[in-house]
Amino acid sequence: MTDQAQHPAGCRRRSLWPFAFLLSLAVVSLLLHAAKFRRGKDVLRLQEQYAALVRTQPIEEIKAKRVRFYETRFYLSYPMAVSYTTADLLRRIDGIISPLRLLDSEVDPGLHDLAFKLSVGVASAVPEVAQRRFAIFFEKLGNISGVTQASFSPRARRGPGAWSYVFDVSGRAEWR
Amino acid sequence: MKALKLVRAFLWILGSLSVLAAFAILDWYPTLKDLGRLRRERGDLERKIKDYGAMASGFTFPDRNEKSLFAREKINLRRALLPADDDDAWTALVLLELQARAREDRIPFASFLFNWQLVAPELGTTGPGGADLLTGWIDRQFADIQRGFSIAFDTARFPWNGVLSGMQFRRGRLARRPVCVVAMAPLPALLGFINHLSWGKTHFEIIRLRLEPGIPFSRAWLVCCGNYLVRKPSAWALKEVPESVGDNLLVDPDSPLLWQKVNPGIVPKILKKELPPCSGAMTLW
Repeated sequence: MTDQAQHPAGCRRRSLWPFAFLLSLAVVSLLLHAAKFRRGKDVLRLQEQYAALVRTQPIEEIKAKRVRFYETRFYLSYPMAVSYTTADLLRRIDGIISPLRLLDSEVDPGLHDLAFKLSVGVASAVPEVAQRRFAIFFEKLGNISGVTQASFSPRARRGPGAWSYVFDVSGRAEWR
Repeated sequence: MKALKLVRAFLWILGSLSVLAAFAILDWYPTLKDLGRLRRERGDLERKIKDYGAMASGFTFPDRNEKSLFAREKINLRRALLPADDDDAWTALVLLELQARAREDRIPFASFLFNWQLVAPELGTTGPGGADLLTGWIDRQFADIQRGFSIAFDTARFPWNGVLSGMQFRRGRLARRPVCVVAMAPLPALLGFINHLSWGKTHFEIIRLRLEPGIPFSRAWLVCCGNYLVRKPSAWALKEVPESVGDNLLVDPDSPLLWQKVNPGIVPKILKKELPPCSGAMTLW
């Protein structure tokens, strides 16, 4: 009798368990989704804050403008710097070349300096004298302001006409 | 009866576990993954905002003076790029300018080569037979001249493509064309001519030069390049490149220099400057 009386209540309780179980699972899901929604809103707010910051204080844009300013200025100055430095270097070499002779010269301007190649003729029957004369010229070349580097081929080649020896010089000069 | 109960209990547990697993796999796990991603994103953004704020406090924003400097430089650049209807119009402008320059600098003989084509073999003001000498010399130098032409588009050496590519030009497309100037004159006049070559509207930049001193005339050829804006389709129009390609070759984007207002003194404007008079061998001979 007692068993029979308790049975329906136990059955009811037992039939509620699946519902309670599913509800608890759904509550967990709900909490997780709520957390995700809140965090998503946080991220959105921070994104807007960052975008507003970049918009009101556009550091990269200003840096790009400054880069462009310097580059434009360099671009506008470059042709005149190349022309003047090239002409002036050749003028200065002409100033120190005597008694030797500049037979040929080539100038290759780069972005920050220019490379040059010279063929220098020396009139002398004696190789040592030719070497000595050339050494004097080479020292003077190194002293030209703006010449940052100079080297020559150690062996002189036979030159045309009166120029018995020809020395090949190469070097670099900075913009003036 | 007991066995049936056990089976039912077992099935109950199995069913519950299946439901739990379905929730976990289909909902909780992806949600937790998203939560992790969002947490990382939030952390990144917070850090970015903090860094940006710190950066902005050390950054000098432009004032009116700096803005006017930007605008002026932009105008200077637009002025430096010669506008032309087409390549032929630019060639004509170049020829006029070079001939005027040669006359002004008293260059007795000058020729201009547009890639392979020889133009104006003689401007001749003096010396019979000079033009022949010049033409013969051009023939001998032709291979070297062509090599000079080939380096005109070396973007590593001349990164203007990158520098100018970000600019919007309403007057046309940016074009770049090499020209070879061959001249024969006494050395002082020739050096003056070389110096003056960039002074004109074409803003020629020398790419390669060869000079053979001589008596009474020295000879030189110069491969130069001119940038211009062309309205009609051009064989020399520069290809559109993204601003990032070749950009910042001249200025490091991380340079602390960019945090301060621009200082025009860092890249001083080069003014037209005459050469001091020659005093060397050629002038004495």
